[in-house]
Amino acid sequence: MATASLLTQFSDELTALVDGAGSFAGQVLAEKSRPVGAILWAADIIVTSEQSLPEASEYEVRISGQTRRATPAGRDPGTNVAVLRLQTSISASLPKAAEARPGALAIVIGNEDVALTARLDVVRSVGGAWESLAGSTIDQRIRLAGRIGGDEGGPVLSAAGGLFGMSTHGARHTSLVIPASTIDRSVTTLIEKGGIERGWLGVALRPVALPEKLRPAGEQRSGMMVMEVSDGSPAAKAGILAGDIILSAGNFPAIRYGAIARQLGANAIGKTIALAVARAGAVVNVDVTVEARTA
Amino acid sequence: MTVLVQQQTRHRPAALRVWVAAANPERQRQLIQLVSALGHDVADSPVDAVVILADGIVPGSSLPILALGIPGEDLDGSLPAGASEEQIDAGLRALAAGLRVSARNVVQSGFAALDESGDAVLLTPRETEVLAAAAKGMSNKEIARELGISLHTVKFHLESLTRKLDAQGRTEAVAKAIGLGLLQPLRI
Repeated sequence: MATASLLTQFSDELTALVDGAGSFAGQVLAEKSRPVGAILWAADIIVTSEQSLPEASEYEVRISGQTRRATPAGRDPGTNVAVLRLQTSISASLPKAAEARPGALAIVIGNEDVALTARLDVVRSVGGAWESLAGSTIDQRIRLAGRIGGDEGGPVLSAAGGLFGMSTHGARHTSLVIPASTIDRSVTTLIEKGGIERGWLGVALRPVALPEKLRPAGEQRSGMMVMEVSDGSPAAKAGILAGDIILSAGNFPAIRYGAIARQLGANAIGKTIALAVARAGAVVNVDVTVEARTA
Repeated sequence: MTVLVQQQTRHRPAALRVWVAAANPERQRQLIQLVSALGHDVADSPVDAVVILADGIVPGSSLPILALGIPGEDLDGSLPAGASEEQIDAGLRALAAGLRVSARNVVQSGFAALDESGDAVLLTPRETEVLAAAAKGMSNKEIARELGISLHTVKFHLESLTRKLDAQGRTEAVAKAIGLGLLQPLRI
């Protein structure tokens, strides 16, 4: 019965691995909200999912069989990392980072109302560095074969117990892992500065189809229409008006939101972006000086 | 003074009577404030309301319910927990008009890459403006006045955007636009 013993061994190893994860995987609760997965990153530092964590001035963290109060230390929508500081620390035992490879087994630690959950998954694909909608670089695009849904923010582990990263519900029902190295960088910045600096224009945009006569040379068929301009913002100072259609930013065609967002990293602050804008049937050039907004 | 108030009332889109039910008292206060700010009347009980805005709980009622942050196929209306004011307003109006409203993925739209922000439906600038105004509950006449275009032009754009959204009529077009996130501008 060699097969049976192999299976038993496999199962026992998984059980042991999940048991061990209880020392650094946990859950965060805001008042009357659903629990969000959490990772004990350092003795007094909790990492959780930014997009799932409700805003609050205080949270309850359940980890390693203990319950602690925690306060927000910073949020980074660019990497989906939110950091909380525990009021009293817990000895941390975060596993070493593991390199994800397609086909590798992945153990996803999730959580229900009171308990941690475990799911056996497979790394579906591993891509290079990518940029998130909020404009941050994520070191690798790690996708899981299974589906995470709302149960995110917990650790994803390798068969050897190493840390791939934090589970994250991606767009279009994808299940992603934010790599440990990216989380590390975000945590460092959040703890130092309390936020992530980004360039800011102060506009609300919608992609729109360009009318024939406004199309620049080439194949550009869409632009970004300004729906709102925030008072006192860089866009307002530069004279951008609601109804303007941004055709290009810094010589990049403004076909997608990303074409503009990509130019608004922290290093863009204080710099000028040249916008070509369609206004009342004519094209005007507007220079906007990017200011800082702390996300 | 009186004349001015009357004019403002005439310009303002029709108010709905909304009953708010949230699990969290703080959230209840927030939502009541938001509903008033949107120009609707907050009902004291579901008896004299036309639509319910729920958060964290789904009250048993025969009225249409717009639930925030609760996924479910059987709900009349569901939007993400972090739905914007515009989405909630348009959702309430669509439900009151007898439609179903659902954002594609209700728990959250998911952590996206820059390149995933493309739109399924690309509207023209005018269609975008007309849609935004229609979502606020404005009549065709009000939209024409607001945008400084003729009534005929408003109808033309409404027909075109309704066709693009594969909808039957403006109310359904608004409901679909909410589901597709078309009424949610990107702020940078």
